[in-house]
Amino acid sequence: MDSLASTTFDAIKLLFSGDPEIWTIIGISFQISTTAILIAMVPAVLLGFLLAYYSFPGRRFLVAFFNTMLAVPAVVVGLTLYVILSRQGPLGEWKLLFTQTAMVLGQIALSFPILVAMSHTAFQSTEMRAWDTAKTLSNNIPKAFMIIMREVRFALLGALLAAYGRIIAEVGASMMLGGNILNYTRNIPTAIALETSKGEFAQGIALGIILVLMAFFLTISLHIMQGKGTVIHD
Amino acid sequence: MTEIARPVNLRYKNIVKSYGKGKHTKLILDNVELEIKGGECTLITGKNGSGKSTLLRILGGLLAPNKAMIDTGLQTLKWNKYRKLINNQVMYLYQEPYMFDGTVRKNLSYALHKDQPKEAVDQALKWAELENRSNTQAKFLSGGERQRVALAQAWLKQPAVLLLDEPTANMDTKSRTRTEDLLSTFKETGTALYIASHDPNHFHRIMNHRLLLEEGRITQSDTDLLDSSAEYTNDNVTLLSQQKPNT
Repeated sequence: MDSLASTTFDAIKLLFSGDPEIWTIIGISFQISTTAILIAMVPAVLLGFLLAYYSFPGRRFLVAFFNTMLAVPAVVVGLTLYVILSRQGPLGEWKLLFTQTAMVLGQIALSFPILVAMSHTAFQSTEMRAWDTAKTLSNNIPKAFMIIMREVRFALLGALLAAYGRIIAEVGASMMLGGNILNYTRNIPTAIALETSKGEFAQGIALGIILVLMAFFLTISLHIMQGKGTVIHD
Repeated sequence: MTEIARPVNLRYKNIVKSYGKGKHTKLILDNVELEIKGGECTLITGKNGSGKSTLLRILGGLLAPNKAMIDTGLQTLKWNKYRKLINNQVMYLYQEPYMFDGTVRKNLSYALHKDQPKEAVDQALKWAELENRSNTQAKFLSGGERQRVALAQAWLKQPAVLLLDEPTANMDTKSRTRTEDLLSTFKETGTALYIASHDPNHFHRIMNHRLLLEEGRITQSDTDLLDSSAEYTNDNVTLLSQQKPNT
């Protein structure tokens, strides 16, 4: 118990010491995950919207596919992309393996199904009447889409946070695709795995604290934003 | 041609709608023919499941029929072309209008055309007697108030045709009278009203025609129940784009 307390104390000291290595790892983590979520967000939400309100061949298959993808472990996604990006793979010539781009691709592959499935559920929750009403009122699809987006904004924000939470904390795909290279592809989860394997718990706990604080901050932000949207009787 | 001549005179022929395939086919509308005229109110009545709502959704462009031809007076169209043509000119109101998250004012603002000033929302609130509810969250309104918000949205849009699905269901007499009063103002501006109601005795103050729909067919048609608005003739036909009172 004393050991845990002292390691945690060391971890906090390490964070506040401004150690460049640890803050570089944190910076890389947020940079890669934010890039991935920004790229995945728009097409995934659009797809979720189409799956909710439009009927087209293969729609049910896509819904089932993205729901299945939710359960696929990150390491399997990492392995698949590893095979594709490795020298013998179809995209081997691009030389993306062990780069930040490969990590972004991995995190897009992980976050996309979450965003599609959760935004699909969000749009579905508003029922068809909402979409018909938005179309009737606006008489143009982009404006109607924005009305519906506003209607489901908190559910979409929840989807974004869930997807972000998953990719910033996943270790399997990042390790396989990034290679855990210091100051380049080493992010929070791969650094935690490495430091723990070396018995250096302080840095691992310090990075773990960052992840917990981030999760707490995102959850609180969502609650505050939802609070602003709370309806009040007059 | 991107507009329907207004006041409208639309003739719908051979509207057929069925669900399912093969021996599981269920015929909902069986060669329905009807007419919509500007400034007139038609009540379409029938039991639950007779096809009233389906018919209204087809007329509103929200549901594709198996078959239908529409004569606009200027051209004869299939439903797909009709749906594009009626954009902005035919408005369908649900029995329980959907209120978006936000105040009544916010919900009304969604109906504003880009050329309309924001002050038009205040006019609409006044018209629907909703001024004291303007900052109320729309999702908390009663059924009657929701219907008035939806009518105020229609008032802002000034559609050529207004389709209403059971607009006074579950309303008390006072609310029903108020809704009928609001609807009568649409008639005065040349809007055609098409109302689905299970009760044939509702809307007697404003209805010109009454159709009975049974098992997907119009089995009874009572016309000229009121003096129709004689001032709407082909001589004063104008286009909707030239007739936006709130711009």
